[in-house]
Amino acid sequence: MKRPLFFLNLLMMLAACSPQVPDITQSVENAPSIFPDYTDVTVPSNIAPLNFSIEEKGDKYVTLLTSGSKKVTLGGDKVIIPAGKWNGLKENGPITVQVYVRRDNTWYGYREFTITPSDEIDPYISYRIIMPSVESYERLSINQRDITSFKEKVIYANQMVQDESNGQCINCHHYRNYGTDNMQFHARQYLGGTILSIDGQLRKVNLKTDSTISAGVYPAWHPTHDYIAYSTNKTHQSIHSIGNNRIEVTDEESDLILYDIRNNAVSIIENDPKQFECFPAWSPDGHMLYYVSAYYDAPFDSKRKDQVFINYDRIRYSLYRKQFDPDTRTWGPSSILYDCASEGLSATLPRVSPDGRWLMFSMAPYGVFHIWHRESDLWMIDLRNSTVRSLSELNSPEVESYHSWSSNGKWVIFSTRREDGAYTRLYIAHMEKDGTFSKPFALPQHDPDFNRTFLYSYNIPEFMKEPVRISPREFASFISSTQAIPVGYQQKNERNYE
Amino acid sequence: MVFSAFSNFPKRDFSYLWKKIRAHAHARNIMSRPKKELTGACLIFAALLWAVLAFHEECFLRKVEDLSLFMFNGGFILDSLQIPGGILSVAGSFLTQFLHLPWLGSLIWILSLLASARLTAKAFDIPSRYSAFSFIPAAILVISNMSLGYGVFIMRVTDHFFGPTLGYLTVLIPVLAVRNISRRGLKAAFIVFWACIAYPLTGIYAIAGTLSVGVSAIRKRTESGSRTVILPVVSAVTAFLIPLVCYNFYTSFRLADAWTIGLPSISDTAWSAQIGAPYYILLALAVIAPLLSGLLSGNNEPKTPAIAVQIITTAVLTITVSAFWFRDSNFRTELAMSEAIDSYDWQKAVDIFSKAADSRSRSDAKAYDARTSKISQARSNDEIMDITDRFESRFFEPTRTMVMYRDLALLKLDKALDQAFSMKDGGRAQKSRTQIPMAFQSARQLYLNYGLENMCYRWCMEDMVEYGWSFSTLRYMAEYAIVTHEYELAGKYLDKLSSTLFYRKWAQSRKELTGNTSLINITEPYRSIAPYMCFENRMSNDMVKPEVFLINHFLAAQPVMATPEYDRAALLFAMRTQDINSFWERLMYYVNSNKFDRLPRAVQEAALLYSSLEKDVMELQYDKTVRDSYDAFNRYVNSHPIRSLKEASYPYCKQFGKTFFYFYYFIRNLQTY
Repeated sequence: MKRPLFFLNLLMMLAACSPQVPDITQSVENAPSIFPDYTDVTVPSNIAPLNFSIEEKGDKYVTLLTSGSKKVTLGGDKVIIPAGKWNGLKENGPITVQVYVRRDNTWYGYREFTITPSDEIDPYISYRIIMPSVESYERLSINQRDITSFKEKVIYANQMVQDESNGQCINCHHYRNYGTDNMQFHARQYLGGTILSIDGQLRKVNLKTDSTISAGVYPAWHPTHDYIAYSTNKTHQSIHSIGNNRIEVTDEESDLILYDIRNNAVSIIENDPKQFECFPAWSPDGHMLYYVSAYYDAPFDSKRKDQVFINYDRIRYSLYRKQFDPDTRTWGPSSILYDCASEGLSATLPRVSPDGRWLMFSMAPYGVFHIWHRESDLWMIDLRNSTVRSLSELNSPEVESYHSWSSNGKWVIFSTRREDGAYTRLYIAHMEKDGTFSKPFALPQHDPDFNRTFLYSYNIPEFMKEPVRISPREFASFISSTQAIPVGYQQKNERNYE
Repeated sequence: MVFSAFSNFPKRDFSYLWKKIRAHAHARNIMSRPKKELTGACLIFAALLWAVLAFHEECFLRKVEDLSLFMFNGGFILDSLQIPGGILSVAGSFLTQFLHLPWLGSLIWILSLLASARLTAKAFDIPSRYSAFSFIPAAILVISNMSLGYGVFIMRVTDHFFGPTLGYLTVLIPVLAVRNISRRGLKAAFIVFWACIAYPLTGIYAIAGTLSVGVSAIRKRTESGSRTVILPVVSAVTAFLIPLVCYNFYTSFRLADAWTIGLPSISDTAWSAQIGAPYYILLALAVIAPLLSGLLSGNNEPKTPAIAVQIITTAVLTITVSAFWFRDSNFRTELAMSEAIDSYDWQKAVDIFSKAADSRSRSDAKAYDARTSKISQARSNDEIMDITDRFESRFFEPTRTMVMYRDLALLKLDKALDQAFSMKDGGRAQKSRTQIPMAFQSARQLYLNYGLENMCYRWCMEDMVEYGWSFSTLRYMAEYAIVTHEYELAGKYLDKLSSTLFYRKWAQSRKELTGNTSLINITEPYRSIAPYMCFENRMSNDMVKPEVFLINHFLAAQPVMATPEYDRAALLFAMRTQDINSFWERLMYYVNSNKFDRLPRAVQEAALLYSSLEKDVMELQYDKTVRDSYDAFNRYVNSHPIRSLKEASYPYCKQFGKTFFYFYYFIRNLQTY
């Protein structure tokens, strides 16, 4: 008899400890200040809990999440929503969140805000973790995150291979059609090469040939055929002695090449000596290659590099496209899609939506490496009628740069420095039917203050339908034990498509 | 009751016990005096070491602390756990922060060294007459830290002062623990268990401890004549396999490093052997110590008295430690000036420089006398040159870092153009085999205070990438962000510092400023940084040479909105280049923007010298003392012919060391780094 009473008492005590929604409150017209800002956002139906911190001053906090008949009450200024309860709430439709804060013995009830579950999103993303440094790269890793939870794993880290005197930079992870059996990234310097997984088989290649200016840099894997388009770049960086933009990354030369995976050979796509061609991106059908290009006419002499830095803010890139027949590997002529340079603007990172209608890119007053340009914003062009607009609903006064479409075209993930101006964070936004976007929200983290305390940047967010299955040790072992195989050179096939 | 108990004791065993007690008493009798003496000697040495560390090496200890980091937050600890030895690193970083108060940090360290000696003696059964040998690991740990010198700027870990000391203590744990386990199978199980648990926490120290247990078993086997090889084999196999297995759970190191992970790491391979050697010796010693101790125990009839062994061992250890102890007065001065710069105490920085120079005046005079005496006996010019070169290092000469710190401080005090050339100058190389670039030491300080904020950001970031976060980089990143009014960013770093023990208050004081631009504009150091930020943006890179970069920066195109402070700095850097055209150009700007009753003395001297060199004496208002000094200089030159600048430097310096004339003629071909 005593034992059941004891447990009953214990249960009552626990119940007394769990947060209670206060009865009498003073209403506050505004939604509460929370971090990250998840007020009135549309989120994927399979996203991890949107944990947040309440920024309002107070000595006690209660948060009530309601969805249909389901209610979840949580206490504390850090609102950590259990995954099970979160999933239960999402199933019932929009979630209303009301925050109560006790201050000076008075409870204040803030305006409710809504979190609206919508279309599903690809369950995985990958990104590079890097400190926003200038030249050093001691600790780099390409990680994958299950965004339906908070699980994060390393795909490959340079520390698994490099040593004290032989550093290794890793970058440009990229997937074919959101799958991970066909993927690539570059390992630079020590034991370097382009690491390709072709149907799960690893290959390490050296894409530099005598006929190209560098190894492959920014990749675009052909959606239907075994080709990868790359830019080749002679890149330099320098530091702004004063001003908001700290670092400038500029090309001295850049071209486009095509890597034929089956024949292990590269061919030139574009190499106009008066143009800096960069950032290739395929249309979903693989019959059009989009890229950016800037006009720059200067002699190829020893002063070229210095001249590029003197003229850095006059180098502007416009959007181009070029037809391609993947069956015959034949190129048509290039044509300009959007001449933003003539408007005093510079576009980079074109990415076409999976339905082929929209082309999103980032735009700043000059240059090509917009992650270091605070003015950089996301823009979009409707390929059906060529209307262009700045995506003001996504942009902030700080940088918006790299972006990636989800495989269903309903979501975009993009990198931004909006939180502090220095560290790149990932934000997601839903695309509405009319081509506008809902309010972007930060990639959820288990600790809502994570973004504030984490002293690394997220780089190149890419959606994936599945996780990378090759283990970090397999990559490390392969990179350590394999010489990069040289590639052959193919002639470019050209045809007038008229 | 007691008697009845004893009455049941077998007679044979009772006599055996009695013999043991007598033997033990005898042993105590014999050893009591040397033990007491040794304890006394230990305490005296410990006290001396503490005094030296706390009151003579206090700047070094504070620099070690400044370049380390410990935060009371879960993220910091979790981040440390991403590599085997992470817990040791956290514990080491926790203790390293107490070097902020050198008397306290050094006291904790010395106590841990004493503990290491005590436990070494116990773990390896070092015979009492050789108990001084148990201080060998402590001596190696002292050498590893105090021989570091400039290496402190390139250490990749933040716990190197305490980490290896704690690591060594953990090596002894399994050795001591196994002694209390009687069954062989249990011992083997324990050592496997220990390696599994300890390797993720302590890295290489777990491997060393595991191997040491195996070697202890070999010793026991030799002594007891047992044939069992279980424990040595299990230890060896465990030490090999556990890192191999654990490697699969990490992505933060190479497989080849799995057996050395947890040792202090550095970014420069040229320093690897120098810095890594003590740790490898220490761990090798810990592994073979049971055998060495066994050899000592086997020496039944020692010829040398115990006290002599102790004295000789202590003397050898003391001499060895002293020989490896990094001693360089310039390094010490740099560290002290660096601290003053960190706290924006400009006058203190200048005073430290002056004191360092003044303190060497007597030894300079002695060196000069000795050199003169040698030269008088020389038979050829080559021999004179050789003697001059050999004596060069005996004269005081500041490093470029000292000069850069001093010039910055003088500019902030608005005394640079009067005093910068009246103080000693030069470019003495660092007293170390490999030179550490000035950028690693002082770039963030120089760039922050000269208003080159993006360069300050660059060096903070590079340092954070290369060497990990430190109190110093977090502070300077916060300062950078406050100067550039990036308050969210400043808050990020200040939040980190708020969770530290000794920088909490500093962070709080800075937090009160963030967001209040008008308050920042009137608060030091920001008030005195702002006037330097008047230049137009241009693309630049310092190529790891801050002095050259600063000269080029200030002598580049004149800013449209140049401030008096900027023009003063530009004129100073122009005078440093000894380029006559640059001087005249910058003098014009200086005269236009600055208000003064009389031109600063060094400027007058430079103007007088340059105009007379150009045979076109500019009609400026020269002080009579300046003209007289220049005339005296010329007379002295005529009456004291110069065989070589190096040789003539000292007597000329005695007469004219405080003039720009001396600087112009004698401070030549400086190498910055």
